[in-house]
Amino acid sequence: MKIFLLSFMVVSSLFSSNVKKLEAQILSSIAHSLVHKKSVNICIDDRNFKGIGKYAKSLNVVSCGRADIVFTSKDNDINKKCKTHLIFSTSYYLYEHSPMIVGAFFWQKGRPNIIFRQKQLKHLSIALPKNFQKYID
Amino acid sequence: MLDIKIGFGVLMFKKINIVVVAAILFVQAIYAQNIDMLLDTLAQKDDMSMHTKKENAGYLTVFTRQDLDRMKVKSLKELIEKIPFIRYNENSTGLSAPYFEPYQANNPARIRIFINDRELLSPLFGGGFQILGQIDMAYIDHIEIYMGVPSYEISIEPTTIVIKAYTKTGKRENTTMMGISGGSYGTSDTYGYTSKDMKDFSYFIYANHRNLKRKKLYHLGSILSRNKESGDFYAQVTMPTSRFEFQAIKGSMDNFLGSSWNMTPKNSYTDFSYLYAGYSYTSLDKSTKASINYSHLLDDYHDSSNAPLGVSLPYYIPYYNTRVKESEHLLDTQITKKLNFGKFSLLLGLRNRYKKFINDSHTRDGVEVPLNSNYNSEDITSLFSEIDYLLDEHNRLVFSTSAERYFENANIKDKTIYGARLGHIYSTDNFTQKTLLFYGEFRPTPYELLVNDLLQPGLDNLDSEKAYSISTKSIWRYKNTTNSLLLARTVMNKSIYFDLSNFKNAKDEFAFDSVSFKSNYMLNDLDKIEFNFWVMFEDYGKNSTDRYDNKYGGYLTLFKKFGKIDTYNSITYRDGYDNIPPAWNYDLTLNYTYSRHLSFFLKGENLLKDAIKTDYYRVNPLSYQVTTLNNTPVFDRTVWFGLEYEF
Repeated sequence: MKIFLLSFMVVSSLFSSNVKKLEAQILSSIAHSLVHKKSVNICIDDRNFKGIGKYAKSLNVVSCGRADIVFTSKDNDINKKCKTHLIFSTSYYLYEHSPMIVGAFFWQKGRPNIIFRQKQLKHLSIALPKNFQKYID
Repeated sequence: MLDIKIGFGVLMFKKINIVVVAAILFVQAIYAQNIDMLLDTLAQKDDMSMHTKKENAGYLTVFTRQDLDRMKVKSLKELIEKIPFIRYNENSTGLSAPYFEPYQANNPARIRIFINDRELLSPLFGGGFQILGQIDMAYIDHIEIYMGVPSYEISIEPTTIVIKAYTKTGKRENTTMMGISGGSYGTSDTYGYTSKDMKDFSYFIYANHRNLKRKKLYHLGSILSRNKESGDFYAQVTMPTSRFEFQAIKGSMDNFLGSSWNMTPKNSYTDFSYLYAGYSYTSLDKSTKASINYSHLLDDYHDSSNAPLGVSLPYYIPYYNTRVKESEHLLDTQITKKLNFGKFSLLLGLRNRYKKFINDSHTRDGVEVPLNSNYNSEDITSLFSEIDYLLDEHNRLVFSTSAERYFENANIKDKTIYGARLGHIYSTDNFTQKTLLFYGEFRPTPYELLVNDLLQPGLDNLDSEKAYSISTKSIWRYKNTTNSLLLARTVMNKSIYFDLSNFKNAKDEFAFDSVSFKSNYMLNDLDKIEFNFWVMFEDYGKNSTDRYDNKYGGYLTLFKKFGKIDTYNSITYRDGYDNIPPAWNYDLTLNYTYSRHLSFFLKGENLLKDAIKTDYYRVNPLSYQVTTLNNTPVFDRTVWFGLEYEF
């Protein structure tokens, strides 16, 4: 039933005009491609994605220490505090300048884009689903 | 027994585990399958136009980044055909001028063009469309077209159509790109840009070189050429509240018909350059905006012919060579403040626009000709306000007023003109109704004032054109379809025209009744069909020999993606233009994405070779003999092929 609800949620979101919902679905997809859990704990440190947790039911927004994955745009303390966690950037600049970061969700050529760093995926022994592999840098 | 129970428990645990793992894999698979579609949908729904467009400011049409990319728009002229009630046209020097009529001045009041929030215009001649109509567009992200006398938030000086082109930004590009294309008649176009979203700012730097070769025409032994070659550089640095911009365009163009009496140019071309620098500030809550923009335009017009180009007064001596150098400066400063009081908001604005136009040199057959007028500057101070009142959750009232003081120099008297606009917007989830009432005055351009001052020094009797307009647009949405119907009536008083002696105000009132229906059907989140049909009934007044005239137009477009191939098909229709046969302009674009970094496109313009044409004529001022050049295509049949590479 949950799976049905989840799949329904994904499909129904495609027809939604709500940008926040779409962004939440994308973050959810990224989180589930990296963390093989039904419900993923995430920490978000980017004010552009503030309050996004309520749109993604399969994500729990938690503090940095409890997160399975951290979404951040800032190269600040959160990266240092959470350095043992999976860190995914919402800024291409940060992704380019922080080799520890596994990937980035950002705008490129006027459209949203996702990129994963192969070296870091290997280091963390993460195998991405087939359809995500074209986003590996 | 216990062993059996434990064994059963282990088995159950394993089964549950298998179910959980399967469930996780299934969820992953669903997310994976949909990620491309999610990104595509987000690109549409969070297009930059969503952050810039002002739905309440007029009747709005948006060409999103996705639209422009899929159309592979090469110049702004292609989009003019998508605007109701006007047609694309070119003047006798081959420049884009939708309202061109032989001998009539370009009227900037009808159509104004902005890049970001800066108006692109020639201080002397007006309209920026001439400058931008055929140059490159690869640095433009999206375009908003406002009709129906847009709000002062969009354009302060009165106008009927505003084209707002927004540039790409570092924040949204984050890449280095290069594009090369070639087209019919030897056209070539090369561009590149680099951009990045840095920690505290973003930048976007762009350069283009275009060698636009048009089909040559032959007339009375002369070659008529509309070729244009230009280089364009644009740079932008954006911070959270500030934006710095710089643009430089330099080029040369052939003058098409030139100015000879029988349209037989021998060596006719114009060198031009445009320089712009600007700064704009927007507070974080967007309530305060300020900007300062400076631009400099230089034209160096060369013309020669075996036939006379004109006569020098008072002895009516014909001349065969001329060179005119004009430099124009524009300094624009503006500040607006929006005050919000719950359901009520008040926008207050102050703008100053200083125009300087200098005739650097004017020679005829090598002899310098003094200009018999000292009129060379115009300074406009504008004060405007806009009240926006939300009556209830469905109804909104917008009331705007403006006063503009024109400080002129030399023989031209200062003038003050006023404008007002009242709008009502009713909207529910599936239905919107916009109604606008407008009164405004359109001041003659400095060119019109200067020509009259040269021909009749000190007379200065040219009055402002006056316009009254009422219009309403209904928009209704049902599932994947959005339909709209626009009805408008516009009455023009004191319209300005040239009667071969000077510019005059018409005595008759002109009235235009317009109807436009548009339908947009989304086949899915990406693909769509658009249909538009419009008709305009014109009444040129009781004293006109050809009082009534009807014009028709519309288009049908299809955006459709097939795997890696993205297609755009469009057919545009125009009819009812004097002596011009019905026109059908068919465009096709195919985009093929080879890889993430490399894509190819093939684009055909006017493939049926049946797009709108235009008539030109010249009158010999001594013999009154008329020379004509009828049914001249303004769209060549052109095929482009190109590629884009992302580094």
